[in-house]
Amino acid sequence: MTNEILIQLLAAFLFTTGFLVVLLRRDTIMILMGIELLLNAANLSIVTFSKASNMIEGQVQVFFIITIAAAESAIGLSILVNLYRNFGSIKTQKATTLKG
Amino acid sequence: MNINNFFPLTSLTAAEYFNLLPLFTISFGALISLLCGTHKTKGHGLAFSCSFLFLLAALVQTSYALFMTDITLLGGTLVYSPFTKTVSMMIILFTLLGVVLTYGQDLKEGLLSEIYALMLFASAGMILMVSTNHLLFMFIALEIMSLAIYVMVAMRRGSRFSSEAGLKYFILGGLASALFLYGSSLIFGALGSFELSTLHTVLKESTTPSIIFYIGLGFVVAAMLFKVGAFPFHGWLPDVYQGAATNVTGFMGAAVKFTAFIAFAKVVQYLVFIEAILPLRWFQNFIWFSAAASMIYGNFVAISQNEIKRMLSFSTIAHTGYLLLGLYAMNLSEQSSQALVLYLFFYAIANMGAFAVISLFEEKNQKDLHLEQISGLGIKHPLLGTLLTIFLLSMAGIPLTSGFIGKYGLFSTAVMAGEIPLVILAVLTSVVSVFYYLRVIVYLFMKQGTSEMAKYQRLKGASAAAFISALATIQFGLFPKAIIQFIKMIAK
Repeated sequence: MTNEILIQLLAAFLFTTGFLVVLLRRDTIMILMGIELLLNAANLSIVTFSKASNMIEGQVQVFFIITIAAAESAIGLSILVNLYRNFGSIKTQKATTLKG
Repeated sequence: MNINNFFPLTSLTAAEYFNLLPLFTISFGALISLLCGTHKTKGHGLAFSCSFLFLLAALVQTSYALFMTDITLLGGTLVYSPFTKTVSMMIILFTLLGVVLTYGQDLKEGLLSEIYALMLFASAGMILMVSTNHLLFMFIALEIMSLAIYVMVAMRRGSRFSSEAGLKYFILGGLASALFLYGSSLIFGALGSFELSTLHTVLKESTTPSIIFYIGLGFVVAAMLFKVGAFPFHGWLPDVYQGAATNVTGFMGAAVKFTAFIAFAKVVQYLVFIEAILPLRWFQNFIWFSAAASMIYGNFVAISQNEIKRMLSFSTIAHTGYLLLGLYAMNLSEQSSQALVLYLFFYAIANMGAFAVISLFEEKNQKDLHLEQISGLGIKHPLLGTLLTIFLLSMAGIPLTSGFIGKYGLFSTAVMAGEIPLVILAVLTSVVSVFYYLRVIVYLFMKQGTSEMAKYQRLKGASAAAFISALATIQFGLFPKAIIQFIKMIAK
Protein backbone atom coordinates (compact mmCIF):
# COMPACT_ATOMS: atom_id res chain seq x y z
CA MET A 1 0.00 0.00 0.00
CA THR A 2 2.72 2.43 0.92
CA ASN A 3 4.35 1.86 -2.46
CA GLU A 4 1.20 2.99 -4.20
CA ILE A 5 0.98 6.14 -2.13
CA LEU A 6 4.62 6.85 -2.94
CA ILE A 7 3.95 6.44 -6.65
CA GLN A 8 0.92 8.72 -6.38
CA LEU A 9 3.09 11.32 -4.69
CA LEU A 10 5.63 10.95 -7.49
CA ALA A 11 2.86 11.48 -10.05
CA ALA A 12 1.67 14.58 -8.22
CA PHE A 13 5.24 15.88 -8.08
CA LEU A 14 5.74 15.28 -11.82
CA PHE A 15 2.44 16.97 -12.57
CA THR A 16 3.37 20.04 -10.52
CA THR A 17 6.77 20.19 -12.21
CA GLY A 18 5.18 20.00 -15.66
CA PHE A 19 2.65 22.65 -14.72
CA LEU A 20 5.35 25.01 -13.52
CA VAL A 21 7.45 24.36 -16.61
CA VAL A 22 4.51 25.19 -18.89
CA LEU A 23 3.69 28.34 -16.97
CA LEU A 24 7.15 29.71 -16.28
CA ARG A 25 9.47 28.75 -19.12
CA ARG A 26 9.69 31.03 -22.14
CA ASP A 27 11.16 28.45 -24.48
CA THR A 28 8.59 26.68 -26.65
CA ILE A 29 10.53 23.40 -26.67
CA MET A 30 10.58 23.37 -22.88
CA ILE A 31 6.85 24.08 -22.82
CA LEU A 32 6.24 21.11 -25.14
CA MET A 33 8.27 18.92 -22.82
CA GLY A 34 6.24 20.25 -19.92
CA ILE A 35 2.99 19.20 -21.60
CA GLU A 36 4.43 15.72 -22.18
CA LEU A 37 5.40 15.56 -18.51
CA LEU A 38 1.85 16.50 -17.50
CA LEU A 39 0.32 13.74 -19.60
CA ASN A 40 2.82 11.17 -18.37
CA ALA A 41 2.21 12.11 -14.75
CA ALA A 42 -1.51 11.58 -15.31
CA ASN A 43 -0.74 8.22 -16.98
CA LEU A 44 1.32 7.09 -14.00
CA SER A 45 -1.46 8.07 -11.64
CA ILE A 46 -4.11 6.21 -13.67
CA VAL A 47 -2.02 3.04 -13.85
CA THR A 48 -1.39 3.06 -10.12
CA PHE A 49 -5.00 3.67 -9.21
CA SER A 50 -6.25 0.92 -11.49
CA LYS A 51 -3.60 -1.49 -10.16
CA ALA A 52 -4.73 -0.70 -6.64
CA SER A 53 -8.39 -1.36 -7.42
CA ASN A 54 -7.59 -4.42 -9.61
CA MET A 55 -9.21 -2.97 -12.73
CA ILE A 56 -7.76 -3.59 -16.15
CA GLU A 57 -9.77 -0.70 -17.64
CA GLY A 58 -7.47 2.16 -16.73
CA GLN A 59 -4.32 0.24 -17.62
CA VAL A 60 -5.61 -0.36 -21.16
CA GLN A 61 -6.77 3.22 -21.61
CA VAL A 62 -3.25 4.44 -20.87
CA PHE A 63 -2.09 3.10 -24.24
CA PHE A 64 -4.58 5.38 -26.00
CA ILE A 65 -3.33 8.31 -23.97
CA ILE A 66 0.29 7.57 -24.90
CA THR A 67 -0.74 7.59 -28.58
CA ILE A 68 -2.51 10.90 -28.12
CA ALA A 69 0.52 12.38 -26.37
CA ALA A 70 2.66 11.40 -29.35
CA ALA A 71 0.21 13.02 -31.78
CA GLU A 72 0.08 16.11 -29.63
CA SER A 73 3.84 16.53 -29.58
CA ALA A 74 3.99 16.09 -33.37
CA ILE A 75 1.43 18.86 -33.83
CA GLY A 76 3.19 21.03 -31.26
CA LEU A 77 6.50 20.67 -33.09
CA SER A 78 4.93 21.55 -36.43
CA ILE A 79 3.33 24.66 -34.94
CA LEU A 80 6.74 25.51 -33.49
CA VAL A 81 8.46 25.21 -36.88
CA ASN A 82 5.82 27.49 -38.36
CA LEU A 83 6.39 29.97 -35.53
CA TYR A 84 10.12 29.97 -36.21
CA ARG A 85 9.52 30.69 -39.89
CA ASN A 86 7.33 33.68 -39.11
CA PHE A 87 9.13 35.19 -36.14
CA GLY A 88 12.69 33.92 -36.49
CA SER A 89 12.66 32.70 -32.89
CA ILE A 90 10.90 30.14 -30.72
CA LYS A 91 10.79 32.26 -27.58
CA THR A 92 7.24 33.00 -26.54
CA GLN A 93 7.95 36.63 -25.72
CA LYS A 94 8.70 37.36 -29.38
CA ALA A 95 5.23 36.30 -30.47
CA THR A 96 3.20 39.25 -29.24
CA THR A 97 1.45 40.65 -32.29
CA LEU A 98 -1.99 40.04 -30.81
CA LYS A 99 -3.07 41.97 -27.74
CA GLY A 100 -3.29 40.11 -24.46
CA MET B 1 -20.13 -27.35 -37.94
CA ASN B 2 -21.35 -24.00 -36.72
CA ILE B 3 -20.48 -21.08 -38.92
CA ASN B 4 -19.97 -18.90 -35.84
CA ASN B 5 -16.78 -20.81 -35.05
CA PHE B 6 -15.11 -19.05 -37.94
CA PHE B 7 -15.97 -15.67 -36.51
CA PRO B 8 -15.13 -15.85 -32.82
CA LEU B 9 -15.34 -12.08 -32.26
CA THR B 10 -18.77 -10.64 -31.53
CA SER B 11 -20.14 -8.53 -34.34
CA LEU B 12 -22.34 -5.46 -34.15
CA THR B 13 -26.08 -5.92 -34.09
CA ALA B 14 -28.19 -4.04 -36.62
CA ALA B 15 -29.21 -1.34 -34.12
CA GLU B 16 -25.63 -0.75 -32.99
CA TYR B 17 -24.51 -0.64 -36.57
CA PHE B 18 -27.06 1.98 -37.58
CA ASN B 19 -26.20 4.15 -34.61
CA LEU B 20 -22.47 4.01 -35.29
CA LEU B 21 -22.80 4.43 -39.04
CA PRO B 22 -22.63 8.27 -39.14
CA LEU B 23 -19.35 8.13 -37.23
CA PHE B 24 -17.90 5.60 -39.68
CA THR B 25 -19.11 7.69 -42.60
CA ILE B 26 -17.51 10.86 -41.30
CA SER B 27 -14.16 9.23 -40.50
CA PHE B 28 -14.11 7.43 -43.83
CA GLY B 29 -15.06 10.65 -45.60
CA ALA B 30 -12.20 12.43 -43.89
CA LEU B 31 -9.73 9.84 -45.20
CA ILE B 32 -11.17 10.03 -48.72
CA SER B 33 -11.05 13.80 -48.76
CA LEU B 34 -7.45 13.62 -47.52
CA LEU B 35 -6.67 11.50 -50.57
CA CYS B 36 -8.65 13.71 -52.96
CA GLY B 37 -6.89 16.79 -51.69
CA THR B 38 -3.59 15.60 -53.15
CA HIS B 39 -4.80 16.22 -56.72
CA LYS B 40 -2.50 18.76 -58.33
CA THR B 41 -4.95 21.31 -59.67
CA LYS B 42 -8.42 20.44 -58.43
CA GLY B 43 -7.41 19.30 -54.94
CA HIS B 44 -9.43 21.87 -53.02
CA GLY B 45 -12.61 21.41 -55.02
CA LEU B 46 -12.43 17.63 -54.84
CA ALA B 47 -11.74 17.61 -51.11
CA PHE B 48 -14.62 20.02 -50.59
CA SER B 49 -17.14 18.00 -52.57
CA CYS B 50 -16.03 14.74 -50.94
CA SER B 51 -16.37 16.05 -47.41
CA PHE B 52 -19.66 17.76 -48.26
CA LEU B 53 -21.18 14.58 -49.68
CA PHE B 54 -20.00 12.40 -46.80
CA LEU B 55 -21.36 14.88 -44.25
CA LEU B 56 -24.72 14.91 -46.04
CA ALA B 57 -24.75 11.11 -45.95
CA ALA B 58 -23.94 11.17 -42.23
CA LEU B 59 -26.77 13.65 -41.66
CA VAL B 60 -29.24 11.37 -43.42
CA GLN B 61 -27.99 8.36 -41.46
CA THR B 62 -28.31 10.16 -38.13
CA SER B 63 -31.84 11.29 -38.87
CA TYR B 64 -32.67 7.73 -39.94
CA ALA B 65 -31.38 6.36 -36.63
CA LEU B 66 -32.91 9.17 -34.58
CA PHE B 67 -35.90 7.40 -33.12
CA MET B 68 -34.46 3.94 -32.69
CA THR B 69 -34.53 2.61 -29.16
CA ASP B 70 -31.75 3.72 -26.81
CA ILE B 71 -28.67 1.54 -26.88
CA THR B 72 -25.33 1.60 -25.11
CA LEU B 73 -22.06 0.35 -26.55
CA LEU B 74 -18.85 -0.91 -24.94
CA GLY B 75 -20.53 -1.55 -21.64
CA GLY B 76 -22.13 1.85 -21.21
CA THR B 77 -19.27 3.92 -22.56
CA LEU B 78 -21.16 5.21 -25.58
CA VAL B 79 -24.81 6.13 -25.11
CA TYR B 80 -27.09 6.55 -28.10
CA SER B 81 -30.33 8.16 -27.05
CA PRO B 82 -32.54 10.53 -29.07
CA PHE B 83 -30.88 13.41 -27.21
CA THR B 84 -27.29 12.51 -28.08
CA LYS B 85 -28.33 11.76 -31.65
CA THR B 86 -30.05 15.13 -32.01
CA VAL B 87 -27.00 16.87 -30.63
CA SER B 88 -24.71 15.02 -33.01
CA MET B 89 -27.07 15.94 -35.85
CA MET B 90 -26.64 19.59 -34.91
CA ILE B 91 -22.86 19.11 -34.86
CA ILE B 92 -22.96 17.61 -38.35
CA LEU B 93 -25.05 20.59 -39.48
CA PHE B 94 -22.47 23.03 -38.09
CA THR B 95 -19.68 21.11 -39.78
CA LEU B 96 -21.58 21.24 -43.06
CA LEU B 97 -21.93 25.00 -42.70
CA GLY B 98 -18.25 25.24 -41.77
CA VAL B 99 -17.19 23.23 -44.82
CA VAL B 100 -19.35 25.41 -47.09
CA LEU B 101 -17.90 28.53 -45.43
CA THR B 102 -14.37 27.30 -46.06
CA TYR B 103 -14.95 26.73 -49.78
CA GLY B 104 -13.33 29.64 -51.61
CA GLN B 105 -11.84 30.97 -48.41
CA ASP B 106 -9.21 28.22 -48.52
CA LEU B 107 -7.69 29.46 -51.79
CA LYS B 108 -7.89 33.10 -50.73
CA GLU B 109 -6.11 32.54 -47.42
CA GLY B 110 -3.71 29.91 -48.75
CA LEU B 111 -5.11 27.18 -46.51
CA LEU B 112 -4.18 23.65 -47.50
CA SER B 113 -6.81 21.30 -48.86
CA GLU B 114 -6.39 19.16 -45.73
CA ILE B 115 -8.57 21.61 -43.81
CA TYR B 116 -11.69 19.77 -44.99
CA ALA B 117 -10.39 16.46 -43.67
CA LEU B 118 -9.46 18.14 -40.39
CA MET B 119 -12.98 19.54 -40.05
CA LEU B 120 -14.39 16.06 -40.52
CA PHE B 121 -11.98 14.55 -37.99
CA ALA B 122 -12.91 17.28 -35.53
CA SER B 123 -16.60 16.62 -36.01
CA ALA B 124 -16.06 12.88 -35.44
CA GLY B 125 -14.37 13.76 -32.14
CA MET B 126 -17.24 16.06 -31.24
CA ILE B 127 -19.85 13.38 -31.89
CA LEU B 128 -17.91 10.96 -29.68
CA MET B 129 -17.59 13.61 -27.00
CA VAL B 130 -21.31 14.30 -26.73
CA SER B 131 -22.31 10.66 -26.83
CA THR B 132 -19.84 9.28 -24.32
CA ASN B 133 -20.44 8.83 -20.63
CA HIS B 134 -16.94 7.88 -19.62
CA LEU B 135 -14.34 10.37 -18.42
CA LEU B 136 -11.30 8.86 -20.15
CA PHE B 137 -13.21 8.32 -23.36
CA MET B 138 -14.32 11.93 -23.15
CA PHE B 139 -10.67 12.93 -22.86
CA ILE B 140 -9.79 10.98 -25.99
CA ALA B 141 -12.72 12.52 -27.89
CA LEU B 142 -11.71 15.96 -26.63
CA GLU B 143 -8.20 15.43 -27.93
CA ILE B 144 -9.40 14.14 -31.32
CA MET B 145 -11.35 17.37 -31.60
CA SER B 146 -8.71 19.71 -30.20
CA LEU B 147 -5.74 18.34 -32.15
CA ALA B 148 -7.60 18.99 -35.41
CA ILE B 149 -8.57 22.47 -34.24
CA TYR B 150 -4.99 23.41 -33.22
CA VAL B 151 -3.82 22.67 -36.75
CA MET B 152 -6.73 24.54 -38.30
CA VAL B 153 -5.99 27.63 -36.21
CA ALA B 154 -2.32 27.68 -37.22
CA MET B 155 -3.03 26.88 -40.85
CA ARG B 156 -2.54 30.36 -42.37
CA ARG B 157 1.13 29.57 -42.64
CA GLY B 158 2.38 32.91 -43.88
CA SER B 159 0.56 34.89 -41.25
CA ARG B 160 2.25 35.85 -37.99
CA PHE B 161 -1.07 36.27 -36.21
CA SER B 162 -2.20 32.81 -37.13
CA SER B 163 0.92 31.03 -35.96
CA GLU B 164 0.94 32.98 -32.72
CA ALA B 165 -2.73 32.16 -32.14
CA GLY B 166 -2.02 28.50 -32.88
CA LEU B 167 0.83 28.43 -30.38
CA LYS B 168 -1.26 30.08 -27.66
CA TYR B 169 -4.17 27.77 -28.23
CA PHE B 170 -1.91 24.72 -28.33
CA ILE B 171 -0.10 25.49 -25.07
CA LEU B 172 -3.17 26.48 -23.06
CA GLY B 173 -5.33 23.77 -24.63
CA GLY B 174 -2.72 21.13 -23.87
CA LEU B 175 -2.57 22.35 -20.28
CA ALA B 176 -6.37 22.15 -19.97
CA SER B 177 -6.47 18.66 -21.50
CA ALA B 178 -3.80 17.44 -19.09
CA LEU B 179 -5.74 18.95 -16.18
CA PHE B 180 -8.84 17.11 -17.36
CA LEU B 181 -6.93 13.83 -17.55
CA TYR B 182 -5.28 14.14 -14.14
CA GLY B 183 -8.57 15.26 -12.63
CA SER B 184 -10.43 12.24 -13.97
CA SER B 185 -7.60 10.03 -12.69
CA LEU B 186 -8.03 11.47 -9.20
CA ILE B 187 -11.80 11.01 -9.36
CA PHE B 188 -11.19 7.41 -10.40
CA GLY B 189 -8.83 6.97 -7.47
CA ALA B 190 -11.35 8.32 -5.01
CA LEU B 191 -14.51 6.62 -6.24
CA GLY B 192 -13.28 3.69 -8.33
CA SER B 193 -14.95 4.39 -11.66
CA PHE B 194 -14.67 6.50 -14.79
CA GLU B 195 -18.32 6.08 -15.72
CA LEU B 196 -20.35 9.24 -15.02
CA SER B 197 -23.58 7.44 -14.15
CA THR B 198 -21.78 5.00 -11.85
CA LEU B 199 -19.99 7.90 -10.17
CA HIS B 200 -23.35 9.60 -9.71
CA THR B 201 -24.84 6.64 -7.86
CA VAL B 202 -21.68 6.12 -5.78
CA LEU B 203 -21.72 9.79 -4.79
CA LYS B 204 -25.38 9.66 -3.82
CA GLU B 205 -24.77 6.71 -1.52
CA SER B 206 -21.60 7.93 0.19
CA THR B 207 -22.20 11.45 1.39
CA THR B 208 -18.57 12.08 2.36
CA PRO B 209 -16.18 11.49 -0.54
CA SER B 210 -12.50 11.99 0.18
CA ILE B 211 -10.58 15.19 -0.46
CA ILE B 212 -8.96 13.62 -3.53
CA PHE B 213 -12.35 13.62 -5.24
CA TYR B 214 -12.78 17.36 -4.73
CA ILE B 215 -9.31 18.12 -6.09
CA GLY B 216 -10.00 15.97 -9.15
CA LEU B 217 -13.40 17.52 -9.69
CA GLY B 218 -11.84 20.97 -9.43
CA PHE B 219 -9.33 20.07 -12.16
CA VAL B 220 -12.03 18.66 -14.43
CA VAL B 221 -14.34 21.66 -13.95
CA ALA B 222 -11.45 24.09 -14.57
CA ALA B 223 -10.50 22.28 -17.79
CA MET B 224 -14.07 22.31 -19.06
CA LEU B 225 -14.51 25.99 -18.20
CA PHE B 226 -11.34 26.62 -20.18
CA LYS B 227 -12.71 24.78 -23.19
CA VAL B 228 -15.98 26.73 -23.17
CA GLY B 229 -14.12 30.00 -22.56
CA ALA B 230 -15.73 31.17 -19.31
CA PHE B 231 -14.42 34.05 -17.24
CA PRO B 232 -11.39 33.05 -15.17
CA PHE B 233 -10.10 30.87 -18.03
CA HIS B 234 -11.02 33.07 -20.99
CA GLY B 235 -7.58 34.59 -21.71
CA TRP B 236 -6.88 32.57 -24.86
CA LEU B 237 -10.20 33.20 -26.54
CA PRO B 238 -9.93 36.72 -28.07
CA ASP B 239 -6.41 36.13 -29.39
CA VAL B 240 -7.23 32.77 -30.91
CA TYR B 241 -10.47 33.97 -32.48
CA GLN B 242 -8.69 36.97 -33.94
CA GLY B 243 -5.61 35.17 -35.17
CA ALA B 244 -7.28 32.21 -36.85
CA ALA B 245 -8.62 32.44 -40.40
CA THR B 246 -12.19 33.72 -40.24
CA ASN B 247 -13.78 30.51 -41.47
CA VAL B 248 -11.96 28.57 -38.75
CA THR B 249 -13.14 31.13 -36.20
CA GLY B 250 -16.71 30.64 -37.34
CA PHE B 251 -16.39 26.87 -37.06
CA MET B 252 -14.80 27.13 -33.62
CA GLY B 253 -17.37 29.60 -32.34
CA ALA B 254 -20.19 27.33 -33.41
CA ALA B 255 -19.22 23.69 -33.21
CA VAL B 256 -16.45 23.65 -30.60
CA LYS B 257 -18.37 25.83 -28.18
CA PHE B 258 -21.51 23.75 -28.68
CA THR B 259 -19.72 20.46 -28.04
CA ALA B 260 -17.70 21.66 -25.08
CA PHE B 261 -20.78 23.08 -23.46
CA ILE B 262 -22.86 19.92 -23.90
CA ALA B 263 -20.03 17.84 -22.43
CA PHE B 264 -19.58 20.31 -19.57
CA ALA B 265 -23.31 20.20 -18.84
CA LYS B 266 -23.12 16.41 -18.69
CA VAL B 267 -20.17 16.37 -16.28
CA VAL B 268 -21.73 19.01 -14.05
CA GLN B 269 -25.10 17.32 -14.01
CA TYR B 270 -23.65 14.00 -12.88
CA LEU B 271 -20.90 15.16 -10.55
CA VAL B 272 -21.71 18.63 -9.19
CA PHE B 273 -25.49 18.92 -8.87
CA ILE B 274 -25.98 16.55 -5.95
CA GLU B 275 -27.94 18.07 -3.10
CA ALA B 276 -26.85 15.65 -0.39
CA ILE B 277 -23.15 16.58 -0.42
CA LEU B 278 -22.56 19.96 1.12
CA PRO B 279 -19.03 20.80 -0.14
CA LEU B 280 -20.33 20.53 -3.70
CA ARG B 281 -22.14 23.82 -3.00
CA TRP B 282 -18.73 25.46 -3.46
CA PHE B 283 -18.57 24.20 -6.99
CA GLN B 284 -22.12 25.36 -7.69
CA ASN B 285 -21.26 28.78 -6.30
CA PHE B 286 -18.17 28.87 -8.46
CA ILE B 287 -20.29 28.23 -11.56
CA TRP B 288 -22.60 31.03 -10.39
CA PHE B 289 -19.64 33.36 -9.99
CA SER B 290 -18.19 32.36 -13.34
CA ALA B 291 -21.53 33.04 -15.05
CA ALA B 292 -21.85 36.50 -13.49
CA ALA B 293 -18.22 37.45 -14.15
CA SER B 294 -18.33 36.23 -17.77
CA MET B 295 -21.41 38.33 -18.51
CA ILE B 296 -19.97 41.49 -16.96
CA TYR B 297 -16.44 41.09 -18.30
CA GLY B 298 -17.43 40.01 -21.82
CA ASN B 299 -19.98 42.74 -22.38
CA PHE B 300 -18.03 45.62 -20.89
CA VAL B 301 -14.75 44.79 -22.61
CA ALA B 302 -16.53 44.30 -25.94
CA ILE B 303 -17.70 47.91 -25.78
CA SER B 304 -14.16 49.24 -26.05
CA GLN B 305 -13.18 47.12 -29.06
CA ASN B 306 -12.82 48.69 -32.49
CA GLU B 307 -12.16 45.49 -34.40
CA ILE B 308 -15.10 43.31 -35.29
CA LYS B 309 -13.66 39.83 -34.82
CA ARG B 310 -12.22 40.81 -31.46
CA MET B 311 -15.50 42.39 -30.41
CA LEU B 312 -17.39 39.24 -31.40
CA SER B 313 -14.97 37.10 -29.44
CA PHE B 314 -15.58 39.14 -26.29
CA SER B 315 -19.30 38.87 -26.92
CA THR B 316 -18.75 35.11 -27.10
CA ILE B 317 -17.45 35.23 -23.54
CA ALA B 318 -20.61 37.11 -22.54
CA HIS B 319 -22.79 34.49 -24.23
CA THR B 320 -20.90 31.81 -22.32
CA GLY B 321 -22.02 33.65 -19.20
CA TYR B 322 -25.68 33.42 -20.23
CA LEU B 323 -25.22 29.73 -21.00
CA LEU B 324 -23.65 29.15 -17.60
CA LEU B 325 -26.71 30.81 -16.09
CA GLY B 326 -28.82 28.22 -17.88
CA LEU B 327 -26.50 25.51 -16.62
CA TYR B 328 -26.77 26.76 -13.05
CA ALA B 329 -30.55 26.79 -13.38
CA MET B 330 -30.39 23.15 -14.53
CA ASN B 331 -29.61 22.31 -10.93
CA LEU B 332 -32.98 23.72 -9.95
CA SER B 333 -35.25 22.68 -12.81
CA GLU B 334 -35.19 20.11 -15.57
CA GLN B 335 -36.56 22.40 -18.26
CA SER B 336 -33.42 24.48 -18.37
CA SER B 337 -31.54 21.80 -20.29
CA GLN B 338 -33.92 22.17 -23.24
CA ALA B 339 -33.61 25.94 -23.19
CA LEU B 340 -29.84 25.55 -23.03
CA VAL B 341 -29.66 23.37 -26.14
CA LEU B 342 -31.97 25.71 -28.06
CA TYR B 343 -29.95 28.78 -27.10
CA LEU B 344 -26.69 27.09 -28.06
CA PHE B 345 -28.11 26.03 -31.41
CA PHE B 346 -29.47 29.48 -32.30
CA TYR B 347 -26.38 31.29 -31.07
CA ALA B 348 -24.04 29.00 -33.01
CA ILE B 349 -25.92 29.60 -36.26
CA ALA B 350 -25.89 33.39 -35.85
CA ASN B 351 -22.20 33.34 -34.90
CA MET B 352 -21.29 31.26 -37.95
CA GLY B 353 -23.24 33.62 -40.21
CA ALA B 354 -21.61 36.73 -38.77
CA PHE B 355 -18.12 35.32 -39.35
CA ALA B 356 -19.16 34.26 -42.87
CA VAL B 357 -20.08 37.86 -43.72
CA ILE B 358 -16.85 39.15 -42.16
CA SER B 359 -14.79 36.71 -44.21
CA LEU B 360 -16.36 38.16 -47.37
CA PHE B 361 -14.65 41.48 -46.69
CA GLU B 362 -11.22 40.39 -45.51
CA GLU B 363 -8.12 40.34 -47.61
CA LYS B 364 -5.44 37.69 -47.44
CA ASN B 365 -3.71 37.43 -44.06
CA GLN B 366 -5.67 40.34 -42.69
CA LYS B 367 -5.81 40.40 -38.91
CA ASP B 368 -9.22 41.89 -38.41
CA LEU B 369 -11.84 44.26 -39.84
CA HIS B 370 -11.63 47.69 -38.24
CA LEU B 371 -14.85 49.60 -37.68
CA GLU B 372 -13.56 52.36 -39.96
CA GLN B 373 -13.25 49.85 -42.74
CA ILE B 374 -16.91 48.91 -42.66
CA SER B 375 -18.36 52.41 -42.44
CA GLY B 376 -20.77 52.89 -45.31
CA LEU B 377 -20.43 49.26 -46.33
CA GLY B 378 -24.14 48.58 -45.89
CA ILE B 379 -24.99 51.27 -48.43
CA LYS B 380 -22.61 49.86 -51.00
CA HIS B 381 -23.55 46.22 -50.42
CA PRO B 382 -27.12 46.40 -49.05
CA LEU B 383 -27.75 42.66 -49.08
CA LEU B 384 -24.63 41.67 -47.13
CA GLY B 385 -25.14 44.58 -44.75
CA THR B 386 -28.64 43.33 -44.03
CA LEU B 387 -27.36 39.81 -43.41
CA LEU B 388 -24.77 41.03 -40.89
CA THR B 389 -27.49 43.14 -39.25
CA ILE B 390 -29.71 40.09 -38.89
CA PHE B 391 -26.95 38.11 -37.18
CA LEU B 392 -26.00 40.92 -34.83
CA LEU B 393 -29.64 41.51 -33.88
CA SER B 394 -30.03 37.80 -33.24
CA MET B 395 -27.02 37.81 -30.91
CA ALA B 396 -28.41 40.87 -29.13
CA GLY B 397 -31.71 39.06 -28.68
CA ILE B 398 -34.05 41.36 -30.61
CA PRO B 399 -37.49 39.86 -31.43
CA LEU B 400 -38.19 38.32 -34.85
CA THR B 401 -34.78 36.65 -34.78
CA SER B 402 -33.96 33.27 -33.30
CA GLY B 403 -31.69 34.82 -30.68
CA PHE B 404 -34.73 36.33 -29.00
CA ILE B 405 -36.45 32.96 -28.75
CA GLY B 406 -33.32 31.38 -27.29
CA LYS B 407 -32.72 34.14 -24.77
CA TYR B 408 -36.37 34.31 -23.76
CA GLY B 409 -36.49 30.57 -23.18
CA LEU B 410 -33.24 30.55 -21.22
CA PHE B 411 -34.12 33.47 -18.95
CA SER B 412 -37.73 32.45 -18.37
CA THR B 413 -36.81 28.91 -17.32
CA ALA B 414 -34.15 30.35 -15.01
CA VAL B 415 -36.76 32.68 -13.45
CA MET B 416 -39.14 29.76 -13.00
CA ALA B 417 -36.34 27.84 -11.35
CA GLY B 418 -36.00 30.71 -8.87
CA GLU B 419 -32.61 32.10 -9.87
CA ILE B 420 -33.72 35.76 -9.98
CA PRO B 421 -30.52 37.78 -9.18
CA LEU B 422 -28.47 36.22 -11.95
CA VAL B 423 -31.28 36.72 -14.46
CA ILE B 424 -31.52 40.40 -13.56
CA LEU B 425 -27.77 40.71 -14.11
CA ALA B 426 -28.07 38.86 -17.43
CA VAL B 427 -30.85 41.13 -18.67
CA LEU B 428 -28.94 44.26 -17.65
CA THR B 429 -25.72 43.13 -19.31
CA SER B 430 -27.55 42.13 -22.48
CA VAL B 431 -28.91 45.66 -22.62
CA VAL B 432 -25.27 46.78 -22.55
CA SER B 433 -24.54 44.33 -25.35
CA VAL B 434 -27.17 45.95 -27.58
CA PHE B 435 -24.98 49.06 -27.58
CA TYR B 436 -21.98 47.50 -29.27
CA TYR B 437 -24.01 45.39 -31.67
CA LEU B 438 -25.96 48.46 -32.78
CA ARG B 439 -22.75 50.45 -33.15
CA VAL B 440 -21.64 48.11 -35.91
CA ILE B 441 -25.01 48.55 -37.63
CA VAL B 442 -24.69 52.34 -37.32
CA TYR B 443 -21.27 52.16 -38.96
CA LEU B 444 -22.66 49.92 -41.70
CA PHE B 445 -25.60 52.08 -42.73
CA MET B 446 -25.30 55.59 -41.31
CA LYS B 447 -21.69 56.61 -41.87
CA GLN B 448 -20.03 57.83 -45.01
CA GLY B 449 -17.69 55.43 -46.73
CA THR B 450 -13.98 56.25 -46.53
CA SER B 451 -11.12 55.38 -48.81
CA GLU B 452 -10.18 52.56 -46.43
CA MET B 453 -13.43 50.73 -47.03
CA ALA B 454 -13.00 46.96 -47.16
CA LYS B 455 -13.20 45.39 -50.58
CA TYR B 456 -15.79 42.75 -51.33
CA GLN B 457 -14.18 39.40 -52.05
CA ARG B 458 -16.10 37.14 -54.35
CA LEU B 459 -16.49 33.91 -52.36
CA LYS B 460 -19.29 31.55 -53.27
CA GLY B 461 -18.98 29.39 -50.19
CA ALA B 462 -19.05 32.14 -47.60
CA SER B 463 -22.02 33.84 -49.28
CA ALA B 464 -23.92 30.55 -49.32
CA ALA B 465 -23.14 29.92 -45.65
CA ALA B 466 -24.25 33.45 -44.74
CA PHE B 467 -27.54 33.05 -46.64
CA ILE B 468 -28.31 29.68 -45.10
CA SER B 469 -27.58 30.96 -41.58
CA ALA B 470 -29.71 34.05 -42.16
CA LEU B 471 -32.60 31.95 -43.43
CA ALA B 472 -32.35 29.70 -40.37
CA THR B 473 -32.12 32.69 -38.02
CA ILE B 474 -35.27 34.29 -39.46
CA GLN B 475 -37.14 31.00 -39.80
CA PHE B 476 -36.58 29.95 -36.19
CA GLY B 477 -37.26 33.50 -35.04
CA LEU B 478 -40.66 33.71 -36.71
CA PHE B 479 -41.83 30.11 -36.39
CA PRO B 480 -40.03 28.59 -33.41
CA LYS B 481 -42.82 26.24 -32.37
CA ALA B 482 -41.72 23.23 -34.37
CA ILE B 483 -38.14 23.14 -33.11
CA ILE B 484 -39.17 23.87 -29.50
CA GLN B 485 -41.59 20.95 -29.56
CA PHE B 486 -38.97 18.77 -31.17
CA ILE B 487 -36.43 19.54 -28.43
CA LYS B 488 -39.07 18.96 -25.75
CA MET B 489 -39.90 15.59 -27.23
CA ILE B 490 -36.21 14.64 -27.39
CA ALA B 491 -35.29 15.72 -23.89
CA LYS B 492 -38.50 14.42 -22.23
